[in-house]
Amino acid sequence: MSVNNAYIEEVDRYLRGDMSREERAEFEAQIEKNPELKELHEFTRDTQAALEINELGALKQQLQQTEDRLRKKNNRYPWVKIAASLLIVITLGFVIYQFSKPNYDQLYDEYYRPYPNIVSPTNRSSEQNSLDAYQLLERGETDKALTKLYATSVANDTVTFYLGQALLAKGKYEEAIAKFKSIAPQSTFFEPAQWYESLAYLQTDDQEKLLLKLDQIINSQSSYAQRAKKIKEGL
Amino acid sequence: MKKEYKGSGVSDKDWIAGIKEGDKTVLDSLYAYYRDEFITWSGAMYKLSEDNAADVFQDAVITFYSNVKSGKLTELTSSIKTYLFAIGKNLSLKKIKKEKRMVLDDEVLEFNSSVEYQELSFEYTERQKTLAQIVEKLGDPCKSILKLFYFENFTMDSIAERLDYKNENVAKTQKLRCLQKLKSMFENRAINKDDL
Repeated sequence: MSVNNAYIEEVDRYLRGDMSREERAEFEAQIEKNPELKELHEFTRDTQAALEINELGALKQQLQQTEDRLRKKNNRYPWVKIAASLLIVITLGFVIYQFSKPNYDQLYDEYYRPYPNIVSPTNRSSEQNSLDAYQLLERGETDKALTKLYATSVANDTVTFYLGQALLAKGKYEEAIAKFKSIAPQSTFFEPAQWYESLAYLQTDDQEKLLLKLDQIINSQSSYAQRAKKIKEGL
Repeated sequence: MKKEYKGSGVSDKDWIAGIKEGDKTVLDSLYAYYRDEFITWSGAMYKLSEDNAADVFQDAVITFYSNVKSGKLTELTSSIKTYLFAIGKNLSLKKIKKEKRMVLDDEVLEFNSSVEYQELSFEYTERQKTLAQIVEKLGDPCKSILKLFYFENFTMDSIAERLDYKNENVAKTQKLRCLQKLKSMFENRAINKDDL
C-alpha cells in the first residue's frame, strides 16, 4: 500500500494542529469512513512518536550523563561535608557550654569583700608615713602594703593572711591561695582564709578545688558556711 | 557559537533563547542548576529515592525543553523554575501512583495545574518503538527530513532551503518517498520477525 500524496497534506496539517476545529471534526469523521486515510494517519502519527522516542531518548541519555557527572562531583569529597558538620557540632557544643557555665566572675564580685583591718584601725589623725601595712591595705594602697608586708621581719599568720588579702586584691590569685593555705586551723584567721581561698578558686576557674573547698566550709560550721552554700547553689 | 550557561548571571530569557536556537547544552545547565533542590524537595514531599527523583527531573526538564522548542510554550507566565517543579510534581505523582506505594494527603496528591504545558507521554506502543529502531537505520536524507518535519516542526520551505532542495515541492516529494521507504521497511521487518 502506497503512501497517498493527496492524503498526506491533510494528515500533516492535522498532526501539526494547523486545522480549525471544524476541519478537525471533518477530518476525524473522514478517518472513520476511509480506511486508507485512517491507515496513513496512524502510520504518520506513529512515525512522529518514533522520532520522539529517538530524540527524547538521546536527550535523556545526555541528562543521565550529566546526572552521573553531578553525583560524582557530589561524592568526591564527602569528608569535607562530614568535617564541616563536625565543626558546627563542636562549635555549637562549645557555645552552649560557655553559656551554661556558671559565671564565676559574677559570683566573685557578689561575694568578695576585703577583710577589714582588725590589727590596727586607722584613726583620722594618722599621717601618711606612719601608716602601717594594714592601714595602707585598708586605704586601698595595695602596692605599698605589699611592699611593707614583704619587707617585715615579723612572720605570723596575721602577716600571711593580709599578704593573701593584698595578693587577692592585686589579682595574684595563685599566690594568694598559697598564703591562705598555709594558715593553720588553730589560727583566728583560719575560717576567713578558707573562705578567701575558695573565692580565689572562682578566679582561677578551678572547679574541682572550688567545690572541695566550699564543701569543707559548709561542713565545718564556719561562719562562712551559709555564704559558701549560696555560692555552691549559684554554680 | 557556544554559550556557557552558568547558574548566576543567566536569566530565564537567556535559557529560553538558547532552547529556541536548539542549543542542547541548555538542558545540562538547567538540570545542573536545579537538580539538587528538586531531589531534596521531591524526596521530602513524595519520598522519592535519589534515583527516582533524578529520573523524574530529567523527564521534567525534557518536557519543558520540548514544549518550548515545539512552540507549545511561547510566553512563560511564571519562572522556569516554577515550570520545572510543577511538571516535576505531576510526574512524581504519576510515578507514585504507578508504584501504588504511598498514601499521602489529598493536598499533596493534587496535580499542579498552575502552569500550562503539553505532557509528553513517555510511553509508547510496540509499533512505535519498532519504528523508532527502523528510523535510526534509515540514513539520510530521510532521517533528517522526517526529523525536521515531524519532530522539529519545520516548514517544508525551510527544510528545502536547509537541505538544499530546489524548492518546496521537491522536498515534499522526497519526504513522501521517505515515508514510503519507512513503511516498507517496517512491514518487511514485521514479517521477518514474525510479530504482527
